[in-house]
Amino acid sequence: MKRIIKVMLIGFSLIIMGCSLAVSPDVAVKPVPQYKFYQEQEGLRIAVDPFYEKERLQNSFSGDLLSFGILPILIVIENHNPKSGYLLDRKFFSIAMEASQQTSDKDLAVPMPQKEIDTLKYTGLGIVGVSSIIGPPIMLIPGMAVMGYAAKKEIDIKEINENLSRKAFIDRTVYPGESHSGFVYFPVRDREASQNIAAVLVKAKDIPSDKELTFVFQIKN
Amino acid sequence: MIVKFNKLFFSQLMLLIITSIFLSGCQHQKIYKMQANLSISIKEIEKIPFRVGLYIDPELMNYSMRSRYIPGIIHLGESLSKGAENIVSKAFKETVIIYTKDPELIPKGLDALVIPEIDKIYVFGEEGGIGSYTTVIVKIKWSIIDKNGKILYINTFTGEEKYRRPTTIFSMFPRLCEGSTKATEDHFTKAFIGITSTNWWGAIKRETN
Repeated sequence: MKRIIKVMLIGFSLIIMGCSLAVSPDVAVKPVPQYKFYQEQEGLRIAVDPFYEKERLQNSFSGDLLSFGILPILIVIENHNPKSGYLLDRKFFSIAMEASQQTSDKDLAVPMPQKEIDTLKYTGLGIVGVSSIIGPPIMLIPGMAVMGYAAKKEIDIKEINENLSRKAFIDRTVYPGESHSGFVYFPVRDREASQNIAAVLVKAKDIPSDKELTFVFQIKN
Repeated sequence: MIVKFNKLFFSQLMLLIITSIFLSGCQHQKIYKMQANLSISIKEIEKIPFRVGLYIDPELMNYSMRSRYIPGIIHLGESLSKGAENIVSKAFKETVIIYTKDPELIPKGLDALVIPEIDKIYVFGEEGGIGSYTTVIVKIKWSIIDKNGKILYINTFTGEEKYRRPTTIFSMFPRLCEGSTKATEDHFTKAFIGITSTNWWGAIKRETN
């Protein structure tokens, strides 16, 4: 009896102590001209940086986003135009796939809606664990292990979600002397498909004239 | 069917009963109304020479937050609308509060419309273990549009308050309420600084004159 209580207490403590959520540190943003893909039009400088590498994804988002079908692209903006302000909206961003990868009706992919990103979920094994605890005694320890594993997975997803939310590109106006950066998330089939992006398109709207500036970044050489 | 009561089965049953009693005891709903007069640390500045209408959305005015883990409701609506009124009146030359976006019902002679909209208000890390951190996040999008509906300014400001998880269940809700208040105050301070820190309105004012 005592041994069982001890095992349960240890298992429960492990689950509770393991439930510590943390957010990855902010991604260090460099001056725009230091990025590989960078352009300037009328004093507005924009750089794009697709995050394909597992290590960078892990460090920035606590997980491999490509395995969830998400390609994050960092957009960095500096307004060096002394007169004009620009509106940068996620609706103005898109990616173009290589011709061979294009689907019949869609050759441009738009950013994922925030709602879709927020609903990343891990279909946990927690219920199996709980049923094991109230089930046959022999299932007690495996049940605890399953519960612990499920809890850990849930925490991982919560951390990824929080990282996605905190690091997302926010629609905003960028006035003279201001800079802005953030990630735009594009849906991709898998890691391999993410390598087939031909170009990233970014549009900025001049305020108040509404004139549009289009930046096309050729990702594939 | 014969049920054999051995020691192990009995201990599991007891644990289940005790847990159920403990959890059902937590169902008492607590209510907290956040103070309307928040402590927003902003400096007096030269006001932006605009006569603006501050649109208070019903969602903002009646906003309440529920904790996923503590049975309680925090009413933030009044604090959010009063806080918005406070910073906008300190940032602009003249402020009129409006409750509609209908052009027919908006007072004439306004230079722009200021619209705060809730993006997300939530708690992160609430389920964490002892010694972990909980963060209350208040994210509000601020748009400023001219009389023709054209966007002049957009930005989203995030107010945050991070605190260590209280050691007792009884101090969890009061700490969450305090955290929500501080996060809301932090949001308004950032929004005021953001809106007033650049001369975004300079060129527009010249153009409209």
